[in-house]
Formats: sequence, structure tokens, C-alpha cells
Amino acid sequence: MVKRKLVQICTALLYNGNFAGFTDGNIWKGSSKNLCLPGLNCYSCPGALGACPLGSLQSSLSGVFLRIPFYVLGFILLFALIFARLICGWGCPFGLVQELLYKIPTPKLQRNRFTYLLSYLKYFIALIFLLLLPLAFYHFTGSGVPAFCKFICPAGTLEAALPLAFFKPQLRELLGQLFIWKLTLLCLTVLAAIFIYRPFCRFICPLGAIYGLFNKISLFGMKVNTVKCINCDRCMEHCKMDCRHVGDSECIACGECRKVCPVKAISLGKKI
Amino acid sequence: MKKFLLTLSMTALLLFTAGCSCPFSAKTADSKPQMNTAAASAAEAAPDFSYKELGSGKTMRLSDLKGKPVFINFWATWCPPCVGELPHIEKKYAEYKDKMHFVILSVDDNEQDPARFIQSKGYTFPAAYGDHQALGRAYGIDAIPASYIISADGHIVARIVGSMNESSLDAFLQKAF
Repeated sequence: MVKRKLVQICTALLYNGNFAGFTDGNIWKGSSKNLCLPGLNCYSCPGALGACPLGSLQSSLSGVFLRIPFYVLGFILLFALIFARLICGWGCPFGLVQELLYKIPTPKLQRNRFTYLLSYLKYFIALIFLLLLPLAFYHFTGSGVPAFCKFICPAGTLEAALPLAFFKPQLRELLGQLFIWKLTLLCLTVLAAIFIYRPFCRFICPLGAIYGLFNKISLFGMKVNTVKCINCDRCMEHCKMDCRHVGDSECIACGECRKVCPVKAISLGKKI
Repeated sequence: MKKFLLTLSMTALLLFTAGCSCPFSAKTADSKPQMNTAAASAAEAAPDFSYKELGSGKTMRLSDLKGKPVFINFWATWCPPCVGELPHIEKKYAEYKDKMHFVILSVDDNEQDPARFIQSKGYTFPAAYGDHQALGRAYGIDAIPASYIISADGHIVARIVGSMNESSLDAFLQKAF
């Protein structure tokens, strides 16, 4: 089994392969920016070689003309049908950041009924910030806004706002209360990630919410050999996400359950 | 063996992407694609460029606008702060049009959207459309709205990123004089 951490690091570097961008703060403008990356990775990150699927989705509801984002939906559907939340576990830089923070030795908040209920929050956030708020802004002001990017996304603050503000004095001058709010959210996410496993992924990320809907039907993911399974439930005892069953909508295919299964009934691979 | 090959291929892919990204990344601020000169800061020659006047459909060049300072505003229909600034630009156009050229240049990826929007709002300022990627590189634009004041002799004398309210826009336009 290939080390998941290694793949996460490689994909993070791959998504942000414009290393020169981190020396001058200039956003990559090559044609690969027309392609969506599978994981959450801000378009405006100076290193980003592709577009964020969530940002691209929202851009269709930004500004004065609203459009159905067929192209972006196609990308997201393609990723979802092939990998679903395996992308979260193996190919999301912000997920990696949270996992690295979680390695800091502190007491940890274990998953419980409350965290399970909180995992439904991301569906509401998806609905409100990806759809309802942009439409509301359009209705009241004549111009939609990319509400998730603008008001919430800590990945954007970390990957884009901070390096751009560092390198560009004319952008630094524009920073105001919105940036303070976003920075606070980022700090809270960073703090939470030290004590809670991947809190943003579990409770907030709309992309994870969307991918999660496809977890049961995706081509690749965690699967259980029901013949071998002895229903000991050790898999769920060790699951760090809020899964009720292996491979359900909360599963990011991290493989923790596979490691602890006493009868080796769990595997990661092609499900069909 | 499988693990080694996978690691090796991922490393190779990474190096490949990093290598491919370097020539492009060097172009983002200092390149001279279709422009005469590259400029990224004030007091430098403003890169000349061609654009299409959305009203008349005529192709113009920045260098055609002689005798008066030029106010260039880069905007797009998908950019809410840009759109929010346009009513102020319309108002200031009425006041300043005899003293300055205005080029309100959309960087949308198609010219139909800005044309449709300008028409729907009944704006009278000179709306323009150009090659947004080349212009973005030549003027070092990372964020919009971005506004420039070009002196009558073709030098960038002021630049601002971010939308302006009426009084800030007025103060900015005054830098031309």
C-alpha cells in the first residue's frame, strides 16, 4: 500500500507546481488554469496550476450574469464518479494541512454523536454559500458574489490571501474587516485542527459534502468483503471521520479501518 | 518495486510541472507578448495596446489617444466590486470627458457580456474590450478593478487596485493634472 501521506504531499506540490509564484506572488496565468483541480486549492494561490472546483462553481453565480456551470459541474461529476471523497483523503492540500496540524501532540477530541450531527452542517453550508447567498446578492444588488470564497474559505486565506498580501503592497492596502474575519476563521480552523481530526473537512467543506454524495457509487473507494467481515466494529471504533459504515458519505478512504481489521476484510481499490 | 516506480513517476511528474511552469511564470509580470514595452510601475511608459470600442466596433490603440491624460479601468462583469464602481465612473465621465480620455476596458473572456451589460445600464462612457490575458500580463494585473492614469505623453502616473467610491475616484482622477 502506497503511503497516503506521500501521495498527499505529491498532489499538494503538483497542484501548486508554479513554485516561482511563491517567490514573487504572481498568479499563474497559463492555460492549465482552465482545468479544475480535484481538491480544494485556491485559484489565486500563486503556485496553483489549476482552478479550484468550488471557486469555479461560484464564479458562474458571480457578477451580473448568472450561468449554469456545465463545464465545472462536469469536472466535479467526473472526479466524484471516479474517486468521490478519496480525493479528500489523498488529493486535497488543505486536508493535508489539517492532518499535519493534528500530529501536534495534544489531547484530542474523539468523534462522538455531536460530531456526527455536526457533519451535516457542511450540506447546509454548501446550499447556503454556494447557491442561496449568491442568488440573494444577485437579487438585491444586481450582482452575485462567490459567497463561500469571500466569507468562509480558510484555504483561500492561507494559500492566496496571505502570500498575495505578503508580496503585493497594493493588495495589502485593500485589506480590511473582511480580511480580519477571514483570518480569524483561518486561525480557528488551524486551532481546531490541532485538537480535532480534519474539522474543516468533516463539518464545513462543501466540496467534501458534494463528493460524499457519490461515495457509495464511485469507481474507487473503501470496500468491505462481507463474507470475511465478522462485524466486530473495530473499523468504526478507529475511524477518525464521522462514518457510520466503511465507505459511507463521510469516508475519505484514509485506510485507518483497513489497518485495524482483524480479518483483513477491508480494502481500498476499485469497487466495481 | 511497484512503490518505487510510483514514487519515481510522481517525482518525475512534479519536476516536469515545475519545469513547465517556470517559463510561464516569468511572463506574468515582465513579459512583452504583443505589447511594445513592459511596465509594472508608475513613471514608466504605459504599454501600448489595441482594443475594440464596444460602441462603434472600431479597433483603437492606446497611442491613438493623444493630447490628454487617459484613465484606464480594467473591469469584468463577473467582478462585483468592478460593477459597483461603474456608476461612479459614469458620473465622473460626464465631468471629466473634456479633460481626459476614458477607456473602460473589460477583461471578460467574451465581448458580448460587457457589451450587453453596458447597454442594459445605459452607460455612456467609452467601453472597450481587449485581449485580457495579454493586457493582464503587460500591466501586471493580479486583481481587478485596477485603474491607471496615463499622462498625455504616455507614462503611467498613478495606479490603484480596488474599487473606488465617488470621492476616491475624483481624487484619483485629479492625479492626472
